[in-house]
Amino acid sequence: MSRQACLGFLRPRALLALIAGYLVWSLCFVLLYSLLSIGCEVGWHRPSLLGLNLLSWLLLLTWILHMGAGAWLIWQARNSDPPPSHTTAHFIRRVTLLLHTTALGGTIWIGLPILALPPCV
Amino acid sequence: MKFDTQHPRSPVARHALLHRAFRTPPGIHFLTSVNHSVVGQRFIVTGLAFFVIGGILAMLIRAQLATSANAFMGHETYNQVFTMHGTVMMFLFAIPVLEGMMLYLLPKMLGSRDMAFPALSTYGYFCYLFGGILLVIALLLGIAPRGGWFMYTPLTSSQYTPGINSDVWLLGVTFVEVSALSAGVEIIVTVLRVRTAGMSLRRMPLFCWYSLVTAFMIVVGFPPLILGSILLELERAFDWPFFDVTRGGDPLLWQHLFWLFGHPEVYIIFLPAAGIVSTLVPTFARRPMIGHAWIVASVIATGFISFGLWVHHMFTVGIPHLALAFFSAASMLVAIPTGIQFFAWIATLMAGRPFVRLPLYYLFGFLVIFVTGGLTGVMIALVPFNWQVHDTHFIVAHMHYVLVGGMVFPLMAGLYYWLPMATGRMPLERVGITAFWLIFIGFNMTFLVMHLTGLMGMPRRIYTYEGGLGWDGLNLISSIGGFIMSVGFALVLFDLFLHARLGRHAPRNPWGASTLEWSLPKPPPSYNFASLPEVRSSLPLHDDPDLPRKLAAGKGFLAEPRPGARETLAVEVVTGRPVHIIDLPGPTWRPFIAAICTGIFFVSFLLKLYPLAAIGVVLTIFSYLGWAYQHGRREDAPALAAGGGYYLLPHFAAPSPPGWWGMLFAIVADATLYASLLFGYLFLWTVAPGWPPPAHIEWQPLPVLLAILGLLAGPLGAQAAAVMTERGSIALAGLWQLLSTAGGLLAGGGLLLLPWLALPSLSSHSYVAVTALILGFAGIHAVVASIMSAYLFYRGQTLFLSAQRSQEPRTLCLWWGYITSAGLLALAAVYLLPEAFGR
Repeated sequence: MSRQACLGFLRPRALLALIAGYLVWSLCFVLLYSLLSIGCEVGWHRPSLLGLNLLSWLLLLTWILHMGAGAWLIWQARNSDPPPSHTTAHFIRRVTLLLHTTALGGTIWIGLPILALPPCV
Repeated sequence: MKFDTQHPRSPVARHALLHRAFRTPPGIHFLTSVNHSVVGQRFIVTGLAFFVIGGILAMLIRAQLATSANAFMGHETYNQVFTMHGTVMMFLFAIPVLEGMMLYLLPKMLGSRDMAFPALSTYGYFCYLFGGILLVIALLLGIAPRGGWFMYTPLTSSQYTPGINSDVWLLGVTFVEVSALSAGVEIIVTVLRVRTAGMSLRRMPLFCWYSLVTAFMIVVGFPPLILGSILLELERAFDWPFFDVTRGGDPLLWQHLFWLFGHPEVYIIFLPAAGIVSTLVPTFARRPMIGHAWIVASVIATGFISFGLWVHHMFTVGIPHLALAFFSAASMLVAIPTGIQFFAWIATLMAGRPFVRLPLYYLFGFLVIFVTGGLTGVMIALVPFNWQVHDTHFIVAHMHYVLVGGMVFPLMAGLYYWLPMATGRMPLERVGITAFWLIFIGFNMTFLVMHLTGLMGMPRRIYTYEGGLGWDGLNLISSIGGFIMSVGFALVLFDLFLHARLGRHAPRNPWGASTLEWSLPKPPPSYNFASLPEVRSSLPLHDDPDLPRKLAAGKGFLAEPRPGARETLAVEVVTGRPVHIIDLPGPTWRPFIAAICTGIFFVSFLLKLYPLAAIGVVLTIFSYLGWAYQHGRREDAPALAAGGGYYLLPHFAAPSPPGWWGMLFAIVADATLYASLLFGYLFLWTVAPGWPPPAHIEWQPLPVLLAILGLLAGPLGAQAAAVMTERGSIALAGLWQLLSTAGGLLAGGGLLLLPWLALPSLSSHSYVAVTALILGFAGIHAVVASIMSAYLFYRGQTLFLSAQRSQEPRTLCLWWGYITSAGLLALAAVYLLPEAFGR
């Protein structure tokens, strides 16, 4: 990784990168709940596609996309050379990785009920 | 470290000069003080006074429930008492007292002389005080709110609570929330920017991380409740039917808005208290905290996840099972970051050489009680169990284990820990330990058995019960425990008074702490630091025990103050590199006057004197403008020697001053309120009964066109004015500001005309009411933007702006960008959504 990318952990925008994983988690959560509410109202749970209703497909797709985004964030953060230890850049990178990893775990966890429960019941 | 002055002052001369600049004026002028130590202490003392009031109400509740068929209180009085107990404890004690702790401690921990916006804290304090007094007066007059601290509709709507009671809550609590929001913005900017040199995010004390996350949560968490209060007050005052099911409203909208605030609120209270724990544990363990990065990550994670739990308060209202499962999963998830913090605290204590003193007793109490509350929290996160214990005393017990365990015990630990710093005397150990055991035993007697009372089926909020149900003995134990706990708290208050006379004088660092606040003399001087330290590790006082003497001798930053100037450093967010000098405001009547004007609005609205309320709004806006006008300079300023070889510009000449950051986070709060309103619109459309509405908004091309033109002209003028100001063309910039002013008026006029021209009666259906409110929200904001542009035109004419002093127009661009987005979104929402959902 380039020196520039390493120093990126010292820029104010590193704070946005710090919370990116949990922004993905939040977006996933809000979208799942909103899609479920709107889908049940509009009737997306009725049409069937490959043995599964349209709303469940949409929820699954949303969930998978967000898991992909979370995994990509981890890959991005890990793909950088670690800055020297005991530096601010090293600390920010470490916290970023922790947050991205736990956020991905959280995204997987909150979406699991889609596999077990039908919507709109 | 290099010095920029050939002949530095003596420590005594430096102290005299700084004290004259920072001191609180005597006599009635003490109301003008903006010093963070004074304002923080006022918040704490006022919060403790409300704690006493809330405690007396709790004793009344326990007296009433001690025996079956008790005639001590009637149902009307009981309803007011339990509602006010919750309201006082949550809104007037817990949040303000923690805000006070943060305001008092943050600059001292960050190595700063004050907060980013000291006058804003003062304004917040008076809003809190006046709002609190309003609520307490209502209680004394017997017209207090009586619908529970969560004020569920339709019980609190005018049909079932026709008097003034609900209005007192809606307006009084909103008045108090102004204080929370202003503190939230102030804390964010302070932690991010107003630190001392070298204090990078890695070296920043954990308490500051907790405060930062809490402040973000306040800024995002409080607006939904403010919106809910606005909606319910509009329904009660003007019959706009947001919650009336017969006209397309839905009571569940209130529950969503309330708990969107209400659950994060638990963590808004818990996190600063946990910050106290994370500060005390390494001190008493005599070793650095284990898992520092893990704790920072956990706090941030808690901040996010806590916003995904609100529906677990609504598991019984009839929501699809899959949605319940989402919220149930999130509710269990939040236990993980909390658990990580617990393991870090326990590991630090086990790995260290702990010494047991009074504050540590309260920390042990916290660990035991909060873990118990957390475990019952996981139990009620599970939907089937939740259904069984919903609205029983089991929930009351759980809630108190979480809130008292998670907030009151750490607060007591913190009060005793920092008491020697604030007063210069040590607490009375024996009295304090006796009080602790009374509180600990009394608390568990009250609430541990209450789990059983709840499991045996006793509902919440009932004012009496029949004998023979098996509840009598348990309730009597709870009541006896409650009174024992009250004696304990009375002893704590007695101890706080007593130690000022009997406590032995505190040494400079009595607990052997390593954070900067302990480098200050006791009690701390009004300016905190004679010179600001350069921080080179996360344990500055541990690394250099001689730091206090060096700072007093001027061996730090800003060691040579200009007479009368209140200066502190602003740093780069991540690295802590000094970037400019903040010129802080001195004592002023403006915040007090602004709070009085705000109070005129709230009290007039409460008394239904609506023309006077409108005058209150105008007065408030002008008081803000007059307040803002005080700041700034009419001449450019050179870079000043700051120490350490740095020559820095004052903040008004810097590219990203605190005002810009303050505006950014104020917009975040405002945008959250707007997003909550749009959520309400979508919610009503998809969930509420009685939709689609009988009539829709009419297409009115003229006002829509005017609004769009204004929304485009406003930011264009503001942006051009900012560019011209940076180039030094103040006259030309003024013309662009006038265009921006006209744009705001045009946009405001168009948006505010639409509800009159294009909608049927506002009380006919919730669709009409919510559509009018969306347009009104955007329109009023455009008018405010117009006033701000006109104000900057005037600032340019009165020589406050120049190429160097161009930050105000740039800050306004930020506001205009938001207003244009909000306005266009409003038009899209009201005209396109009906098409999308079908007529």
